Amino acid sequence: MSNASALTKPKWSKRKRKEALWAYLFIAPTLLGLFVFYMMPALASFGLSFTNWNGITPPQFIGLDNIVRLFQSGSFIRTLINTFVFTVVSVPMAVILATGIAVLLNQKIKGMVVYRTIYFLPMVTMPVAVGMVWKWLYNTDYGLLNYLLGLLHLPQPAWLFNPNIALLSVIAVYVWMTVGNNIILILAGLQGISQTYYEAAQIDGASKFKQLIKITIPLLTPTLFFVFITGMISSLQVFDLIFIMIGDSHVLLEPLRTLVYGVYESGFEYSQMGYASAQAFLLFLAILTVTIAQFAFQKKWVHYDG
Amino acid sequence: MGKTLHIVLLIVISAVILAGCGTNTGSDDNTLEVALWDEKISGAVDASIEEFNKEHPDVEVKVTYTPYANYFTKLRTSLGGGSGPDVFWMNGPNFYEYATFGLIKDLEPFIEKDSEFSKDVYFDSVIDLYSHEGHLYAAPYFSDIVGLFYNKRLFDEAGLDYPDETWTWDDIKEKGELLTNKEAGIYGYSASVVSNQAGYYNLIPQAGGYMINEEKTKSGFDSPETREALHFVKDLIDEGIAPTVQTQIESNPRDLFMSGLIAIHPEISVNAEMFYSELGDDLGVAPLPAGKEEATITHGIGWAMNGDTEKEELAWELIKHLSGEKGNQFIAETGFSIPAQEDMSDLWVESIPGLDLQVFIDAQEVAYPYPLSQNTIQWQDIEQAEIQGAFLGYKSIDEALDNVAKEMNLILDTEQID
Repeated sequence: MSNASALTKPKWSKRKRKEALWAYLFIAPTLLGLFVFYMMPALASFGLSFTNWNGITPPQFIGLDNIVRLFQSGSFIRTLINTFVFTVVSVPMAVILATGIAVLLNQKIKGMVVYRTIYFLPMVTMPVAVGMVWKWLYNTDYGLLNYLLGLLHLPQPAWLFNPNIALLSVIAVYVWMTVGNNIILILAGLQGISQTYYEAAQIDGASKFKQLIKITIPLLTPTLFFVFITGMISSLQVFDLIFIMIGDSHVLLEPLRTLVYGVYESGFEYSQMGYASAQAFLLFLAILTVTIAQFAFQKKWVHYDG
Repeated sequence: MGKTLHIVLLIVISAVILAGCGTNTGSDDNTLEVALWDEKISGAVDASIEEFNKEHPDVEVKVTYTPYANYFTKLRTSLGGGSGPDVFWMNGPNFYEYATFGLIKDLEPFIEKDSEFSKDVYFDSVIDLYSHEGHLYAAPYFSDIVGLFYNKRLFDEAGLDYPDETWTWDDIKEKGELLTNKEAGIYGYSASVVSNQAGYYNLIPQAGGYMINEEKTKSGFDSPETREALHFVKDLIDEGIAPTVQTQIESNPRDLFMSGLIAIHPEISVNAEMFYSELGDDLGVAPLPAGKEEATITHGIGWAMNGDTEKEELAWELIKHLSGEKGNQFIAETGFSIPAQEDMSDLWVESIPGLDLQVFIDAQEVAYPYPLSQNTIQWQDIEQAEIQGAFLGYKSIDEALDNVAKEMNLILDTEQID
């Protein structure tokens, strides 16, 4: 049988083994970097989450005290809720908006490259710069946004100060910042859909809208799945934007404190490395759970072409 | 072939691991790293380093400025990791922790061996600030104190006399109201809540109260005097004489003052030079107005040495150049703030001829120490969040002050156990 060799352990020729060795050599720098800068700190952080450590004197083992303390603290629960709301609102918004724009950008009209570039620009801008600029735009008394609203005689809200809308204000900026990346990915997905489906649909007399619902969206689901997963992972870790926009004001932080902000604050501002590690570890578990759930759920809605 | 490949692999591995584990200390015998936050002082620092290099031409001194908001976070993380700068700025709120954890070196052994350095020439307030159990841990560099800056143009337009030493809280309210011009967006007074040092920390002792008692066992935030001071601030804000706390957080009162949108603004002496270069001869300065009493908060900055540095002799030499007579002279001439050596005060007073800096020297008479305990940072975070929260309308002032006192007393109690 031709596949008998696949059942037994393959015997590699000397040449093949040498090739494999070279392959390992080529990935070695990345692998080592990954190990030294990601795996080792992650493992260390896991170990530290069971300790009380101020970063200077030796850590003391305190078992699960950090975790217990976390769930007893009202501010951690608040943090969890904030992060959850942030993700649940921002990711679908960014994906839906991106899909709409990508469909519009997936046409043959003049100057399309310019439009695509414009939509992608926020993505290649540093989050720090984005945060700074939006902080000024949002300024209640001197900001551009409220100036324009004032010209139109509309109410001028305190975007970052009203606890009811502060989170939404930051979500808007986050969506604005990430939508460009989603557009590029979805655009690539759209262009991967074979024209033959549309031709067939046209012959059958399907409207443009029907085509979108019955062909484009289903065939786009693998891309959407990818965009959703990566989007969720990064929005669960949101930090830089919030740090820049309201970071130095403790009073404004309450409605906006996210999980990673909590990690930063405990670890680097209050020097409670063990407590911070425990939060980081819980965040890791949360992201892992969400991602596994999404993979389990994907059978229900993701269609792979062919 | 196989062997060479293994060797190559090993080299790659060890190179990456070594690069990952290497630390900065001792990276180069002839480099001293210096860290501080205020770039406005770079002229004086550079001049002192130049002097130092005359004696040590082979030593390279690298200076890094990190904005204050992240300075101590970064410093502590790098020191905790066994690296960090050799010589760096220290302030009051962080001093206790750095000294007790051994993050900074006791300077006493160096002082004993060195006849050139004497603690006597410095302001006592700054020596006290950086002494722990009688030992000096940071060499005094400059002293800062709060004064009442004002915009002469706005006073002229309102037809008012400039503030002077006779002013009291009532004058702030009275004149502040006359100076306020809502249509032009001009506030009479800044009533800073975002800066405790330049703001309400001065008002509390002026009202006869205290932030922390002398034994550092009890918070004074729930006392009637503190309440009076903060209600004074609230009245000014409610009447529109001072910007709301929301405006203060979004647009720092300091920036509003420099833009000519605030007429009277209490501020730390270190900003005198910056204000003068922005407002020129429109800028004036007067003593803080008195409440029941006269008081003005004083603080100062010192140079500390990395507790783990391997170059302690060189580092000490550099610290001596920075905080010595020449170093003080440089600070005085650049006009940054009051040099820590008392005798240099006059030189500093002359540094900005258009501004009466003598006000700050005279203010030393009514100086009130910046409130400190072992865990200052912890209770200050609570204090600022509570008080700013109250001004934003999340709760009443009295409720916020009760919370501050309660939390602060808990922190102070744990300090007693240690």
